[in-house]
Amino acid sequence: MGDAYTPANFVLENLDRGVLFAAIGGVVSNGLEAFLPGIVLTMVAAMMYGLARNRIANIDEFECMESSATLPGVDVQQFTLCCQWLASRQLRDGLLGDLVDPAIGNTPEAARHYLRKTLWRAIWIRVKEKILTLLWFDRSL
Amino acid sequence: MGHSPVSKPSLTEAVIAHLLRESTTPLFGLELVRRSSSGELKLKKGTVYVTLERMEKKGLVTSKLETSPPSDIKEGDFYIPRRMYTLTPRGLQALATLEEAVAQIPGFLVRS
Repeated sequence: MGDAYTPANFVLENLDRGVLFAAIGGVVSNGLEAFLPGIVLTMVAAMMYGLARNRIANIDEFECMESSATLPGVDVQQFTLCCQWLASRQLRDGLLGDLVDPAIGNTPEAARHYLRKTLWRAIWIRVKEKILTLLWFDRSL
Repeated sequence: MGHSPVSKPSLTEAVIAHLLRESTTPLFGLELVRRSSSGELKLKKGTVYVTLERMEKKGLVTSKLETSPPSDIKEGDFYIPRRMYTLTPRGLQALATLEEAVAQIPGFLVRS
């Protein structure tokens, strides 16, 4: 892992920034016209771009990992896919690794509850960070 | 590609860097959450990994997967190698930069 601020990443980041600004522009323009479907469609398109871009950009990182772990009550593969959409291998390793702790992963229900609760919080923080970074507010993180 | 000059870490990053500096062994995310103090500086489960990922991108920490399961894991228990984090010299420097800045805050502004 480590710092990987390569020219390819620079191009991708600028592409993301372009999409974000286009989406903001689309939402504002549609908002001025009070056109709700336009606002929703613009946001959905931007989100779909983000998810697909994360999945494609992180195929290599997620392909070469061990995926033999099974846990009753938790679909590890589906969870891995969610983390790939979020482009975070560390989140996947971290949250699944937390279940090794008997206090957290002792029952399937407890494990599921833990993953659901922490994943939503992580998604929110990750999206917020991504948007702030693209808007050059990353110094405030 | 090199890293940009060392900048002051955020509050959460500083808490993590401090905990890693105090530890003699690499730590995983949940252990960092447990060791963090309560109140404003309490790390949160789940979000700690987002911060750790950012710190790794900045070169403040380094991570690797555990090579063997902990001793309390029994045969048949769920186990997945946990990602263990260590502070890098750059992380140490960033923390020192913040500590220097904090030391310059006039005493009356700091609660005793």
